[in-house]
Amino acid sequence: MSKNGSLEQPSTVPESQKPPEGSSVKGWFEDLKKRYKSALKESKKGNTWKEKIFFFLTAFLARVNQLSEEEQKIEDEAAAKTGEVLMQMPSEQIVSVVEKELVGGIGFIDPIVHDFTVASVNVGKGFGTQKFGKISKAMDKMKTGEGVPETLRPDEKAILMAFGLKTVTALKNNPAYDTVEKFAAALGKFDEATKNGKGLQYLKQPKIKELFKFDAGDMAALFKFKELLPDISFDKKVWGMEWSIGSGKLKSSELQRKLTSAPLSYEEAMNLQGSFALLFPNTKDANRAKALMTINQIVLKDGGFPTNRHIAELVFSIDTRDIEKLSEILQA
Amino acid sequence: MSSIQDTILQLLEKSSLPGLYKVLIRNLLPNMSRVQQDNLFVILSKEASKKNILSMKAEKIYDQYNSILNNLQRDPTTFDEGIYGKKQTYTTASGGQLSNLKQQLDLEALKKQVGGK
Repeated sequence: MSKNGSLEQPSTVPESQKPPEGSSVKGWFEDLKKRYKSALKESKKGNTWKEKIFFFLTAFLARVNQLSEEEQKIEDEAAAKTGEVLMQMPSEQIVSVVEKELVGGIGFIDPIVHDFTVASVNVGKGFGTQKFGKISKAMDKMKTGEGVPETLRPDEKAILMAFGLKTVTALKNNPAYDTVEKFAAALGKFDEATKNGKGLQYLKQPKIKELFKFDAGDMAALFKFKELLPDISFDKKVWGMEWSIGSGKLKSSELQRKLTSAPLSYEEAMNLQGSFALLFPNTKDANRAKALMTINQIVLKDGGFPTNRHIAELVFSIDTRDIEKLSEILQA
Repeated sequence: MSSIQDTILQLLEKSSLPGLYKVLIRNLLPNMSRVQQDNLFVILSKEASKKNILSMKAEKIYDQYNSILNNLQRDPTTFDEGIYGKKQTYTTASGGQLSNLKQQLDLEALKKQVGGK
């Protein structure tokens, strides 16, 4: 018992080791955060002890957040200004460095690697230095681990998707890849040509596919449609909205059930295509139905990852203006 | 390689710039004009200097809150007088920096939150 009569909980959490000099804000406080949280967890039986730990933990987290924001500002500023210097360099020099990095050496550069790199450099320049700094930071996060890392914030994921969409659209306009077959084959070659690359993992096809994985959660970034369609009631996920189709009143939950339960026939897809009219207004009805069937196939596949063929089908089903609009919305 | 290029590469090692930017700088540095190299040097030096100041702030906060937790774990009644009685004593005893905490936090609200769980 403590002197004020409550049952206190002595801690068994070991003391922190001071982080090395030059650590990031996260590096400085990761261990100490864990200690505070463990102490809070341990303290369930001792109310006054718990109250004190909670008090200091809250204050501590406020200070850490403040420092993290300062750190973010410093990093963003450095990236934006460095971007200005890099943007002055000739595009062909930038392309040469990126494509060598993608294939892992100075050897043969497959034309698809070159074309993809040219497209991404041009698209990247179009985003401007501030946004491209953010895209590049998000790319770094994509390098780590399997799948889309949890540390990728929704806004980072959205801007990477926007960047990917624009790049894909630029490739679609290239006469060398102007059919579904040629496009899918080119993506296959791209996978093969970049498998030994040392860096820039996001620019490799498998990483992009991970980002474009189709499931309800991954569609969350699209909730920004709310700003464009104020009359429609949105949840935080696009599938959660009450979305009437044409003259019918099919709800999003029904649409989701249809898309995730069984393969759609073309007739059924044609009946449902109106649900995508808001998403892809410039795309023809028949092409929207095709896109719906492709999404249905991707969702029904294990893991929801699109194949190269699926990506190519989507790219050629959906009108370029709609893809670009989607990219703009994701950046908003 | 010139000394400014060497210095830029050294600064780049510790910089938080995105990986893509680092790769581009390492490869394109010799092709850059002197003005561009000077600009990069200034950007990276400023970043390093600001990060250094930030790191000192982090160390101060680390020491402060590490010490608070160590003291509490050694003796759970530490700060009792300050928190439950004379708040001024608590502020003085814990160092001037803790006065910020009083502004940021409503202790009574926290007591209710904790008590409610």
